[in-house]
Amino acid sequence: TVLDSKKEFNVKHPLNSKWTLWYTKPANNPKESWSDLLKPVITFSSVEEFWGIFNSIPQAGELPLKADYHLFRENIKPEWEDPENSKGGKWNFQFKNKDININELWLRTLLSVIGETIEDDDNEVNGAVLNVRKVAIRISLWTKSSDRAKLFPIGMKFRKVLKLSDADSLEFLSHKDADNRSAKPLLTV
Amino acid sequence: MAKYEIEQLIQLRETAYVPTSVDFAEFTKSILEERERQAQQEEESGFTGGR
Ligand SMILES: [Zn+2]
Ligand SMILES: [Zn+2]
Repeated sequence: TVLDSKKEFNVKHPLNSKWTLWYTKPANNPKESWSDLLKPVITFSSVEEFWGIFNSIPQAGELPLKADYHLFRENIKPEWEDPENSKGGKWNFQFKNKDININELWLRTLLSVIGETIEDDDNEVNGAVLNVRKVAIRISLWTKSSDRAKLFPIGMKFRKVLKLSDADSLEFLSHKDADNRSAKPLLTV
Repeated sequence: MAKYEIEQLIQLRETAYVPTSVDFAEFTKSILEERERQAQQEEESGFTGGR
């Protein structure tokens, strides 16, 4: 029963931070606003809960077009307007080749974020985002600042997490340039 | 502070505990239904487009 399993559950592997999973459902009519579509699913703080949740929800490759998953530190909204995000930006990679194992790469991204091995101890990474689009599947890592010295090592690790090849380049875009299509990436690794 | 390597976390997969505060079956069902609907639309527009 539920009660029994609750009793049996004791956290042996706490995470360093609490994380909230968000889901954006695809818009089906123009009246639906962004806030109708983007909803928090659950907040968790242990390795045990992470796996329980991950095993119970659709994999990256099962999402419909125009859907997103977002995993952010508790109390940070997955929007660039959030004060924790507004001075930062995102390391961003678009997978246009459909032969990649997107389920594995998204899982590796999540694990590097909740395990906090993607960064040093300064909580520079606010969250991770998966966007499923017709032209490409995009995985991004959102950061608190646009400080190149902090961003560089994160970008280098992110390349490994995503198993990028030497030919692939990973770009960092500032949120303040988000509306400017001709803006150049702040950093490329 | 607690840090976990990717490989370490993968080894802990069997410790999974599903929180009871969210109906994940319902959540998953609605997502898979949406995907199914898109696939059908795609098929229909394919036919009218004379592919
Ligand atoms: Zn252990
Ligand atoms: Zn999004």
